[in-house]
Amino acid sequence: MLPNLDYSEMPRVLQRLLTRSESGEPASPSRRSFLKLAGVGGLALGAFPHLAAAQAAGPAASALKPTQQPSAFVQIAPNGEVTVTVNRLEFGQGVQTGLPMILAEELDADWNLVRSRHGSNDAAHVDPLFGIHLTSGSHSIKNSFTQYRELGVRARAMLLAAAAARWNVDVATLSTQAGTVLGPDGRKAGYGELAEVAMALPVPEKVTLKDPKDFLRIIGRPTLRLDARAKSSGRQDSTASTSAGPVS
Amino acid sequence: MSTLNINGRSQTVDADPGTPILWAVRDSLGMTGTKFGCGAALCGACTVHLDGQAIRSCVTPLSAAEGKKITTIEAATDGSDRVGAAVHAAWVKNDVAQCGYCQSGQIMSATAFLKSLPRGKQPTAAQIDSAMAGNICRCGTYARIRAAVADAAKALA
Repeated sequence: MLPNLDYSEMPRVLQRLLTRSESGEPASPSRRSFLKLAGVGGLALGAFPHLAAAQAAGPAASALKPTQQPSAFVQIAPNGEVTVTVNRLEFGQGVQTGLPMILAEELDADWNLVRSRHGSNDAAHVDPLFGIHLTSGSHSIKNSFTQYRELGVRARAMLLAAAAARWNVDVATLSTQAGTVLGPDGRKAGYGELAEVAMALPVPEKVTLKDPKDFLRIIGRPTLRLDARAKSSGRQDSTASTSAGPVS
Repeated sequence: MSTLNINGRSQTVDADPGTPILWAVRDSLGMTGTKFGCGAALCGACTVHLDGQAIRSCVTPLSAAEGKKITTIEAATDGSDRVGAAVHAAWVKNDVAQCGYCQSGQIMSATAFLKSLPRGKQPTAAQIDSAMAGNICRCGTYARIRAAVADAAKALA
């Protein structure tokens, strides 16, 4: 049970959702949701969504919830552009920039190449604590901080594994720096070059997050909002501009 | 049917001449950069240019645009217009937008204002406030709007 919440006062549907989310069951079949994501999320070649197909074959994938799968949140294009999917609505609070910063810090991405986009009604994009699609009550960063850090560090581990395989070296000899894997003897590979191979690798379950004192490059650094350009040219979507919006 | 000159192109829309320009722009032409705010010329979110003047498109009928040129946010910030490009760049540099909903209208008002100034003339803070007074921002980005307009004016000098 969550602290400070009286479940009996909630609508029954919300009680059910919260109970289910705490029991650790995915809110819907993960395999199906990933196939769907792969279909709609095909922004770029060499993108992570294809991991879903690879993972579905292995037993290792089942232990992770949809909210923990990098394939549902991170896409890396061959040119190194990292697109982070945000599981919240952006309405000025800056979450379309804040959550990508958190993921990019652990991924060790080149912040200049990070983009963001809105999530969907897919099960992977629920609030990881409440298990429902939710943007409210200052929960976005509070509930998704660790989630986005883990997504970033898992994606980074897969890129490191891909580089280790390519160079036939021990992964422990590798490090990363702003979107590039660094190997022994000065070898380098950009995330964009490795993404396609990385996407076929299993998602690691156990990962180690950075010590917060090592948040040196992105978290805690002032930056322009990722949506500043779109919002300064009328290109940001709003509900009123969708077919279902109040302005028909 | 009404014919509009919009962003340099002649466009025919299937709408009565009494239809607000905003409806034609958003619904008939699918250009959703211009926003519906209040529908009563009170908030400025729907601001477009009619022959260079900032007008409220939610209350201006298509008949008023006959023989005139309409410019919307899409054309003002696509880089083709010197003043619009400077305003857009200043908006990004100052990270003005929060939710962003009013900003198309803010940018159109700022662009029309800067175009109304003699070339190289720097506006005072009071002039900027007065020019932007008709555009409301619920996020309260006014301080950054003022800074961005001043920045754009400097860039254009």
